[in-house]
Amino acid sequence: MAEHEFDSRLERMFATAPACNDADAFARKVEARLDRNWRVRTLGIGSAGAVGGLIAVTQVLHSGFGFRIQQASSVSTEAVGSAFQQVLTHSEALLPSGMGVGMFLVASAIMVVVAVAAATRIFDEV
Amino acid sequence: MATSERKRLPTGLHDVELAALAAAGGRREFGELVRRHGAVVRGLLRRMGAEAATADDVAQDAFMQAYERIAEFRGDGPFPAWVKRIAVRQYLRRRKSDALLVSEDASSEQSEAAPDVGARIDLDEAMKGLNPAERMCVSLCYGAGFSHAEAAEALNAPLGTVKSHVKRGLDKLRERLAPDGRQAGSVANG
Repeated sequence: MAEHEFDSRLERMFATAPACNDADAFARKVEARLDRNWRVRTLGIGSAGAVGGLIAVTQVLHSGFGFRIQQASSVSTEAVGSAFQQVLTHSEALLPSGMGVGMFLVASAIMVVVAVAAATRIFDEV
Repeated sequence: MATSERKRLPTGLHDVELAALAAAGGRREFGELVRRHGAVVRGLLRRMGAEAATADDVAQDAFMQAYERIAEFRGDGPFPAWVKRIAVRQYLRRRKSDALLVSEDASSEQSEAAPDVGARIDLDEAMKGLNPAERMCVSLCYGAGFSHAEAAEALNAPLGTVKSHVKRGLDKLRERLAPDGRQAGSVANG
């Protein structure tokens, strides 16, 4: 019994913090080290990102990517243009009398905006 | 400036709340935890036998490691107990080369002479009367909350050796920390 009491007493004594006048200074040292580590990490990650980005851009430029993009863009522009022309031709036939092509485009744009808003809403809900 | 910064510190929050904020990147909140519990950790390391400067270094490293692993602290036990375990393991790693920690030979080392009868001594003074192995084992088991088996594993020593160091250490402490400030033996004798 006395042994158990002594054990408890000893544990309490160990749990009691000894008087430290420099507790605040010690905490500030730890905070300074944390800040320093954080700055080094931020700098390291930023530098790595910048270097990686630079390498990626260099690789892309050296691979003739720009030329291929130009080619692809001219081909796709032609394709989109002809498709758009076809749509206009068909839509004129579908349009009610008195409704111009401009009106049709505005209505289409509004529908697209509404669809995007609905999709965003659904995404937020999920 | 310093005063206004101090005012912004989350001094009213519980350790678990501070730890959660620290896990989200709050360095000031973690600093508050260090402010609260730094002395206990440093005190334990000193009681284990570390020099003051070494104890402070190890305690700093322990808190740095604790910040890195703060997400692992779930609040199941007290925050200081969690940090103390980290600090103890750091200190033991640092002293791994010191084979004298808990060898049987260490128990034969001379400890400081017992204080005069009637002298009131505190735990730190009483611990000075233990040899290094006894200090280490008693501190681990009573200061860091290790079981005998955990202490044996941490010290890479036989369980029986740890138990005998703890027992001898406790006997010395019991003698020195008599409730009325006198040695128990002296009371019994007279």
